Amino acid sequence: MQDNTPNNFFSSNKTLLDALKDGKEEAYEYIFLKYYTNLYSYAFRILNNESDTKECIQSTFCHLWDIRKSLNINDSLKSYLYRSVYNGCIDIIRKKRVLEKYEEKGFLDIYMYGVVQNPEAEIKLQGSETRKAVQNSINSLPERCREIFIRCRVMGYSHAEIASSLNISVKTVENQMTIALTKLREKLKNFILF
Amino acid sequence: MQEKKGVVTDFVLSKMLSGRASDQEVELFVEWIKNIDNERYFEQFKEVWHAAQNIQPGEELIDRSLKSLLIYIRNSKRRELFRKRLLYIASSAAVILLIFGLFSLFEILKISGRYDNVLFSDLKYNSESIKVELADGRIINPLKESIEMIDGYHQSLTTTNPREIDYSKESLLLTDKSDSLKYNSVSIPAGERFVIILSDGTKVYLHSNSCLRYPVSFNSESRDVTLVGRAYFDVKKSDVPFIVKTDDLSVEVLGTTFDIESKKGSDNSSVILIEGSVKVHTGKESRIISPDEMFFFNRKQGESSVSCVDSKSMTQWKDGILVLKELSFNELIESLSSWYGVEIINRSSISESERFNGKFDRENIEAAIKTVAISAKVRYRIDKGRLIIVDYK
Repeated sequence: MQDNTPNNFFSSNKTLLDALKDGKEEAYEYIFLKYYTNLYSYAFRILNNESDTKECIQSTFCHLWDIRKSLNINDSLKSYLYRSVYNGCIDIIRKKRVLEKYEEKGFLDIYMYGVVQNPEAEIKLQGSETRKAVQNSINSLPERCREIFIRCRVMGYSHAEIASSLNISVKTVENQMTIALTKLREKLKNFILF
Repeated sequence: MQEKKGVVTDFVLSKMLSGRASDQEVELFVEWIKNIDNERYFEQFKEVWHAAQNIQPGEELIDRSLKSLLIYIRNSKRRELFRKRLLYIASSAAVILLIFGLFSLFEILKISGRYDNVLFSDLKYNSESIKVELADGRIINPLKESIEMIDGYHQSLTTTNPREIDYSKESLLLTDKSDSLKYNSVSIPAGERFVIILSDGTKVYLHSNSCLRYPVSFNSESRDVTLVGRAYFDVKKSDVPFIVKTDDLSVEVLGTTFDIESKKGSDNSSVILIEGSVKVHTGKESRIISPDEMFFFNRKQGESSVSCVDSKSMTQWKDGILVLKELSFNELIESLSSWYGVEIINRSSISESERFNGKFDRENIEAAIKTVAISAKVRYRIDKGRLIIVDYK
């Protein structure tokens, strides 16, 4: 999708920024298509909820348009966008009082700076060797096995929940998890985990 | 399932990251992560988790969202045509001419022709002066008299610039520990501004209608000051945290440049960061902001948000140029009244939803008011030293 954008015009960052400031619609379309998918994936991992994620990304781009005249980007447009999305996500979880249970326990700082992925770490992760290796290994698992693994280890569903939603026995889930973990451990020896 | 880290399994970590952990699990996790090895393990786990989870939006969602962005852009262009009136105030007629074009110049001539009886020299400026209150309760006007240190130091604190006090030069001599317990405070009335250099070399620019309380000399454990109003801080780097307290916020930094606004009776407070990083605490939460971000706190709802701003332009007031953005007419008038130190009464019927932007030079209130009048289509007169703004008809 992002590759067949007709404008090579925006190849230089400077021209792109100027076009954004001037309110050129093509420039907004260009960055939207270029960054939407990755920003969506990032925001989803903080918000863990589809409608909030959509809303957050949408308002990030709308806000960029709103402030275009005073737009002042010191580093790259990319890190600017990631940081805006991050701030948007934090605002959303704050409004939804997701953080209250952490707050009560004086755990807010650990949550905000330890658990939530910060934009710098996210940009580093994009295109990193770790990400490629992990994605490739997971994709190489047999389909059923992969689905069960993702539901369990990535989305945090219990074996019983997975069994009932896929209409299989808990035993099957456990077996598939063992297969998934053995295969992944072999492929991802260097990463210790799972 | 490997139960390798006691009760906190990888499964619990996944639940933490996907926001699915129960209260009990959160509690377990908090205890567990205090261990440094566990913390390192979690760092790695987190990286792999983020690498593994890759939920992507469908093509259809991307299409739909792009369309709605483009609609938003088009609507906003239309709205701007009607709603936004750009005020651009400058002290020289040449700049006004550039910005408003010939037609506006014509308007200026017309208005000044009809209202040439408005004499700006009739305006009554705020007569309150800048006050420095010393630890012993004496109150001094730094514009008129130099401040002699008490307890026999007799050192003049004023520098060559009468709108500035410098405490840093004395810091070597003032080894007396008790000085850190001696507080001075300075109040800036409407229409004035002031600069203080604190004993650690931190430079504070104070906006009109502001008050700062600070120790004569900081001790080695803390650098705390209290602010009401607005100030721009250029904090000297040190291992000792510098803390600014206001009624509703406290801002903690090591060495950085930022602007903080917390006016009495206002609905909102804000912190704008120019350089470095600061930690802002409200009563119940704390948040770190980055350069060119503004932390905004709504006092009524107790809610905060962070947005990106052009920090350099928003803080130009310290150099004598007030930049106002997206204000209602009443807010605009209030800001100008405080900036120039004159009383302004708004009797016009401009709607609260109108938004005004502007850039105001400190020196020239006449040019400022004329341009406001043209942009907002109002008239003004001066009555008993006060500026009265009324509708055109």
